[in-house]
Amino acid sequence: MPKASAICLVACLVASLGLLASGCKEDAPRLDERPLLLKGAGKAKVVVSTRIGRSRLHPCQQCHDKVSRTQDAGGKPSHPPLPLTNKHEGLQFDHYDGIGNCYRCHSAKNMDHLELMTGVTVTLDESHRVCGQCHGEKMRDWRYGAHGKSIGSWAKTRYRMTCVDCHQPHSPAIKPVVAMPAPPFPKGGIPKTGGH
Amino acid sequence: MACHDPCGCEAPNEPMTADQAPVDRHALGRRSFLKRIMTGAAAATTAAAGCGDLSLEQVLQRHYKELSPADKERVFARIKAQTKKRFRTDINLVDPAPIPDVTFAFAISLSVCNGNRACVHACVKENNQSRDPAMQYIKVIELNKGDLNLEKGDMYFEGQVPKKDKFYLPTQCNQCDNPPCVSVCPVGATWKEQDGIVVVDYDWCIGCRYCMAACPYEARRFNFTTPTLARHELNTNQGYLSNRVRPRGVVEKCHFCLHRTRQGAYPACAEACPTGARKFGNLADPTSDVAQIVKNKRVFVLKEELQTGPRVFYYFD
Repeated sequence: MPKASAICLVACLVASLGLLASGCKEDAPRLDERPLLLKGAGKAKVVVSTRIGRSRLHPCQQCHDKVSRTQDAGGKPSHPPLPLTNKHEGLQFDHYDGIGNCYRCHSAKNMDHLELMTGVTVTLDESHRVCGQCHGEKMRDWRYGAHGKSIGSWAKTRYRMTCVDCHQPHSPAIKPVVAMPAPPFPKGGIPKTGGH
Repeated sequence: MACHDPCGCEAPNEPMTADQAPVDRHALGRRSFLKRIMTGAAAATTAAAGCGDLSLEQVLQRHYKELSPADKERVFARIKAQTKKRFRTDINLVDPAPIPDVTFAFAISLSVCNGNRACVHACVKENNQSRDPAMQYIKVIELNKGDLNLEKGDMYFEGQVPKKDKFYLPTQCNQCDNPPCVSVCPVGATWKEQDGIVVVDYDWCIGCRYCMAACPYEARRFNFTTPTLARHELNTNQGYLSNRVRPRGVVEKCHFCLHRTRQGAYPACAEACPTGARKFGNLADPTSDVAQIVKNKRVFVLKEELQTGPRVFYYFD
């Protein structure tokens, strides 16, 4: 009897491990395993800032109880493309033509996630991969540090802010701001008026 | 060592005026001559010792590079006490040494900078700069697109930015590798540190302003008056060679926030920049942002023909 129960236990373990592994695979499918950012030398590290837990409207189930987890056996969404209702009507669209199609970036299978053109689902923490599909040049600059702000410490861990930390994805141009006060004009100085 | 205090600068002259009257030295006896000399010297010492906040110890303080650790401790205690007396606040005064194998540089993306001046005001706050008269290390110059003629630039722009057909070029001390300001200093009060930062010893500066004339980037500022700073505006995290409260009559400038950067943090301007245009890092580390930018982007420096070797690189992308 103890032998049988041991076998049973091992079988259970194997089964659960298999489940776990498959679960992981499904959650975080990755196309390329290249290092995302240029790695720091020595003790230096570069880390991409995360989005999950920082977005007010994520996950969707805060408001929608059924919207994201319903799909039929074939993996197709069981609901029709959602018309914009009051909560999301405030969104400003000023990006490329066709930005009105939510499922170009949002995953129709699971609205909590994003989807690449290849059909690969990515989490909000990897939203830069969605942006990088079109903005390859900026993506390249961001990888090695020429674009995007780094915070933290130049010596230990640099936290690279991700695209949507600065750019609203639905209307990504940076809005004009009012400049902070100018230095006082010197007494007796002649202002530049453009002519004599 | 100059007396920087506004109150006492005239004081040493007063007893001396009597001595400066034409005196026939031969008519004086040895004793009365010595007596006069001694009185004059004593008066000068007393005046120096009682020169407002400037103590005799401060007058006799040696150059920063000659200070032993014990000397430093004493000097730092004195500065802390003086700041406490003036602002009724305890400060944390540090003096971090340059980190070996680190050489700092800035890279600024001119395509991204939108001229909002957040860096300017963060710098003023961080570095305890005088609020009135206002002193600012960073100048943001508004230039016409397609033109890098700094003479046509405007640093007094206001209102909504970025303006149409304009771009913005923030300038500050370039921490040159071949600094003209250092070679002209007659007393050695400014020098280049190992990590590339050009520093000023405010206790050694005599206020001659040669460095200001020599600097091709207009990066140095002079304290014509005692810097005014309210108690609540004081940044208590201070460095001896960086942002401690300066006296009147000395020159100061950007020092890449060395009290922060030598401890691993970013400079205040880079941290405040809302656009991410400012990149800071260790040029000696090939994986750092600045090293990668210098390697991959078409960078330029200001007034390259002067061969000053600036450490602030600009690029468009």
